[in-house]
Amino acid sequence: MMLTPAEIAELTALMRANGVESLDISEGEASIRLVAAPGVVAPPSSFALSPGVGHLITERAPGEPFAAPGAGIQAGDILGLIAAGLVRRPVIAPSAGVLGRALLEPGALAGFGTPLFELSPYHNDPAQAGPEDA
Amino acid sequence: MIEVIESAPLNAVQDLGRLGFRCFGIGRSGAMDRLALAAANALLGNAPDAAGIEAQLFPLVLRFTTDTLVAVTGADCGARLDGRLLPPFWAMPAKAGQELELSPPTDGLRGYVAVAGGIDVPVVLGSRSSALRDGFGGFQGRMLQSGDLLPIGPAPARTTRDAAGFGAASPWQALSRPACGDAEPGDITLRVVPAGEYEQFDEPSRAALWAQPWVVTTQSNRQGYRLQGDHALLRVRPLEMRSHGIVPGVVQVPPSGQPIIQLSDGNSAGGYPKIGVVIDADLWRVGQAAPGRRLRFVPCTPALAREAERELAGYLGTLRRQAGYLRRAAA
Repeated sequence: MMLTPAEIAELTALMRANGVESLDISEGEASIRLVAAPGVVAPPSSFALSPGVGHLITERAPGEPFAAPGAGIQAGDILGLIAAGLVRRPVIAPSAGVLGRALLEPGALAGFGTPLFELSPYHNDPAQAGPEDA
Repeated sequence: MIEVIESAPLNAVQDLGRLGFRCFGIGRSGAMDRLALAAANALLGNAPDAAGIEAQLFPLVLRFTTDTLVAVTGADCGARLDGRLLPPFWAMPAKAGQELELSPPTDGLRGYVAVAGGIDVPVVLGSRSSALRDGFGGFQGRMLQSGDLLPIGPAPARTTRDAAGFGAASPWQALSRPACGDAEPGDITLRVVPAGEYEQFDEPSRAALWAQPWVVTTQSNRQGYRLQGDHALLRVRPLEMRSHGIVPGVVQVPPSGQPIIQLSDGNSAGGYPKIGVVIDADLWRVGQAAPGRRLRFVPCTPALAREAERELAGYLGTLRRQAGYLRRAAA
């Protein structure tokens, strides 16, 4: 076989981490299919990325965060701002989901594309359902 | 066009003011927080003298009849575009049919709405500002009311690099606060140049002008703010004065000893003695001081006032340049 057990373990770990349920690999006549057992695969997370270089602002006004961890988020919501000079650019939620913690401290310097917030997809748990699911 | 869906009284079209007609008894008018309006125009790439809407009472609900770029600055009025909350000091594309709603601010007093191209009402005596007392300028010389259709001036079709728009540091964040030794964090500090009759006030009054907080009373509006302090300001010998020309920022002292700051819609002339003048570069701070807010006066010289003007111009110039990077031609 073309894959060692260590390579298969690595592939299955990557599948879990990225929410891939099945994987087909073929080389010439040989082929292998990896299928995750139901429930094994973690739902994929997405990340809100910094739109540019600047300092992270997480509050819309003092004491008023744009969104708190655990909050239901819609795609396109503003999760924070990146301040550079006098201007601020929005940090946008790429998809709907439940907001995780900020991956950077408020005021810390972010680069272009730096992941700033993690978003977990909504589960079927009604307590975590977003407004559109309610 | 911008359609006024709903407007509380006293909201009107304003620009930076009407200069050069004081000799005819016509005051400056214009935005109470001229810096906020200028910042909105800088975000949009508008001419500095483009007119916008000053919102003093709420709600203010506007509907855009055409695609445009809109900026909302000044006091944080929790502006919502089609229900979506905007960050403060924010510019973004608005689509035809979308509605912008401003609500009462929790901090500050006046919000400003500007659009790319400006509000294109006729220029009267060199300005688009509303002169509400005299009933000219602005939109038909009056405050806005529901059903009004405000024309938008020509502007290149532009959008923002980020679909959600972009924002700016507010002047409160970006400009240095005038230093006042024992001012409390919530006090608004203002630089004041002693005026013509300063020396006529007795020593305790002159000391009190600088030393004590002055509370903005509810008798405060676009014409002027009446202030209240513990120690009334008294002159050594009361003298009658002829009425003389006055400008926004003049601090007059009527016989009560409780001062008045003349503001955008203030009289062009008055006879009360003047103890000082709030420098022009700090008048925007006054425009955002709600009744109950404490003001502190800090002694200033004409040279320091010019320095403050340069700082203000630097803020607007930098904002205009940096905002230019965040707009682009519309597809």
